[in-house]
Amino acid sequence: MDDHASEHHIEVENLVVHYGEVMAVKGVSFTVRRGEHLTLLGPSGCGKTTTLRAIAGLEQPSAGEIRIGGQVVYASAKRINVPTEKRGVSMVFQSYAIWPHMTVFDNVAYGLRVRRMGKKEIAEKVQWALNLVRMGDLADRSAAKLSGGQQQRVALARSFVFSPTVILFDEPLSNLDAKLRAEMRLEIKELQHQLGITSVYVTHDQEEALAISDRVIVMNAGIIEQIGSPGEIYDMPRSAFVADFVGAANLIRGRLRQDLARDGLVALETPAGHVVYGVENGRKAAPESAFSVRTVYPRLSRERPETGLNAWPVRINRRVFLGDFVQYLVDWEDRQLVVRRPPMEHFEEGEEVTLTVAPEHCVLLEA
Amino acid sequence: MGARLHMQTVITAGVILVCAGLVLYPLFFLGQVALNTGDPTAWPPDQYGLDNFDGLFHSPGILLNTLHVSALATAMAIVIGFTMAWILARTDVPWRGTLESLMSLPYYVTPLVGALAWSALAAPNSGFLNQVWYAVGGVQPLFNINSPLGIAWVMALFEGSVAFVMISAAMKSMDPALEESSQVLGAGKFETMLRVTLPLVAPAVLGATIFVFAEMLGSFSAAAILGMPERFYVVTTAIWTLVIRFPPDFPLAAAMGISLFGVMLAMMYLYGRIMRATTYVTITGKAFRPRLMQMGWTRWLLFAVCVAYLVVAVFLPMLALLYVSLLKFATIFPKDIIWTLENYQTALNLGPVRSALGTSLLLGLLTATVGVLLMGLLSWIIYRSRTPGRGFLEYIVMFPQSVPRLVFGLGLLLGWVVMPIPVYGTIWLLLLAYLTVFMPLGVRTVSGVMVQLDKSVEECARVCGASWLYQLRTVTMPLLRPGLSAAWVLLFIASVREVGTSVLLVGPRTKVIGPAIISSWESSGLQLTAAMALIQVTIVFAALLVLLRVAGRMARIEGE
Repeated sequence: MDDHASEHHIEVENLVVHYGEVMAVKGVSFTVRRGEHLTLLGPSGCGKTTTLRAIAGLEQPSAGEIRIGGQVVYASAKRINVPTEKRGVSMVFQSYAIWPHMTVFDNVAYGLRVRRMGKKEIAEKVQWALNLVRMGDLADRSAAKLSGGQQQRVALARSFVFSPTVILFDEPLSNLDAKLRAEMRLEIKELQHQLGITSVYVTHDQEEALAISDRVIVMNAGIIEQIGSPGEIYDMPRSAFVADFVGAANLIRGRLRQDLARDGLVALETPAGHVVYGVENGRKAAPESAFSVRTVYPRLSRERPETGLNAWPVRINRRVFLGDFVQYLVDWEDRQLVVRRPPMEHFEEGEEVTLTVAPEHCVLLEA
Repeated sequence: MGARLHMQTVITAGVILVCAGLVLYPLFFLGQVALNTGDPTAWPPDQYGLDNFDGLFHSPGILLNTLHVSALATAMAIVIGFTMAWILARTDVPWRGTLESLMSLPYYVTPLVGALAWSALAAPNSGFLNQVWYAVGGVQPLFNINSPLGIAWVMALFEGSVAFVMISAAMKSMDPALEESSQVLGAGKFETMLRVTLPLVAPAVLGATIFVFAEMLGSFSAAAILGMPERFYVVTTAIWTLVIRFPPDFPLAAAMGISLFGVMLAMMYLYGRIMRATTYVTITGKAFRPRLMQMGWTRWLLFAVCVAYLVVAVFLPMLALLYVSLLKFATIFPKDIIWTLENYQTALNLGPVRSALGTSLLLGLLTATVGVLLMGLLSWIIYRSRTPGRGFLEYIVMFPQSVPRLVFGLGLLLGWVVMPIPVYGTIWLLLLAYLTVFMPLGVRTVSGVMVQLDKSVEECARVCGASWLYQLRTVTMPLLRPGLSAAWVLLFIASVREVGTSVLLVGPRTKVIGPAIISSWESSGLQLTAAMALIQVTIVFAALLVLLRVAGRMARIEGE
């Protein structure tokens, strides 16, 4: 029991949340390990924030069970619903929720005062927390007079100052501009490592999710699409949705040709008759299946390569310079593929070239 | 949690029942009496029928008068409101900010005070303007305020500021990009105005027209002050006369009241439909900085127009009242003037007047204090909780604005005289009446602040470990305080200036200032009445100053 509890810090089982008639979360199950940084990723309305709020006790689920540190905090069957303030979690809100009628110090000290800590200890802890987020010299500033980035830091300090074991992040960076967002992303990751706190992080920004998580849960329309490490999610998307939402991908559909399978590869024949080889990853191919091909993996070349696998003549239709890479739209069969190449390669619009993609980069999607 | 949820449901259900009772109870009695065709003294009625409604058609003049005055006043008020809104929201008129904040003053002058003042200014024989006219050789009176046009004039000056608020809100919430994109696409200034600006503002103008017209139908004071001396009656004054004469004709009064209520309800419904159907105008709810038209020298002309409105709606009436209240006889000719403070002494010493002032102040304090608590709870249930039935509660709470004040007072009168509990004629019935009729005002004010308060600010306190009560004490209440204070002052002002509901509910021992001014107008001279009106206005404006300071503090907090 104890071992179990220490391994799985947060357990969510078959969670269902309704908003009136609408089912926002449709039976979601996952666990968060102690000290793990887990991210719920998905488009708006996918149920990720609702799930997070249900863990915090801010949303009343209609079914399922939630355990934190082995203790049941919500169970529909047992009619248990521990109020938010007794769950021992902390949270950073999308709007920061900085109290404008208090100073920075009072904001951060709030959780400590609630816990009836001594004056001296409160002063020390608040200073420690503010120093960690590099706001040490602004303790006496009125919270109403802070910039967005500063509010974000105060919200962070306030969330960990009372040494919670779990912090929930609800899109904490979405109100910041791109540069500040990238900076804060690193800082949160750094803090996370220093404090060793278990955290659940909600975002719709796939880059953010991949950058700061130990594991990512991709959600869509109230259900979990895939759970995995950032690398797994990126390289082995389970569904067309994940392939498309995380990074950019081309989808190639075709008929399964078991007779052409070789070297442990699976072969699909496209409607136009091309045979595409890819990897199964232990998934079962259906008679009609699809590969996901990340836009950065295909190569373009003027010479025909020697191996015959997954090499087709294509025509460059459009070339768009995007700074760090060049995006090509190439005509292939009766459709177009998106290919991203480093800017040092240069192909002209209208050029006839050969596109090759290694079979291990053609990932079979689950049927 | 289960228990807590249960409690919340119980409390909400209780609140819904109480509010529904407050609102519907008087209307029920109103309907019952209107349909009572048997012995009028029997209760419950022994016979029902529609005969009382025939009475309406025996005096078609009253209906025509009502329509006549309302239509005139609405037309003038919309012209005033639209002009002011356009000038202050769209042009670079000088001192825009100051003018805009002064635009709320006409609303606080009230139709009652406006009517008294304009009576002093433009009564056919004694009015100052007419006295001047006769002195320079005029034969016929230049102005006659005791006419439908006169009543409409006074009401329009008042409702003009209401129309201004509604129309300028629409003008301000319009994204200037909507106009700019029209111009970018090749439309000229005039075409843009015609094809983009007008259609976007039209629903607000139409809405304001309906709203003002509905309010006009139920208005009482101006018609009572200016119309009754000339035996010119509208529906509200007719109802009043039917009730206070001996013996009173309750069934006919109730039938008139119900009919007026029905018309007003239909108009308010229409208004609501229009406002809901056209929310695209204010989709973001954001206030944009409007693009101001450069008017050149014309802006001084527009400035003069604004000043002229403020002069006729506020400054001239106030000066006239002040002047009259300091005179022994109303005159403008220097040789006849005898200055005196006697009127104020009388007003403050005369038993009934003094007690009316005292009662009004006490009622103001009670209404404001109880009201803020009640309406705070109501707003919280409607806009913050997830309890089922809150939509219905919102409907009930907003319902009193479709009931003409006087009709509501009549319903309360009919509902409580038959009760064995001696509430009728006491301050408690007035308190009950005020709390009910001010529900829309109070809830709107409090909820305006409450919806601005980001929910996560409260949630964060809980996440930090605070209990619900600790959170209320440390986070919710401090942040709501400015809004609640503003609501308190508004309720206080509304109570002190109330006339329509009170006029039928005051008893021999519980008089309030509004109705006392009307009876003073009927029994004593203009001088004493003017003094009383000025005392009332002074209280209202003092409270208004407090409100402005509170609002200033609120703006500073929000501005960060």
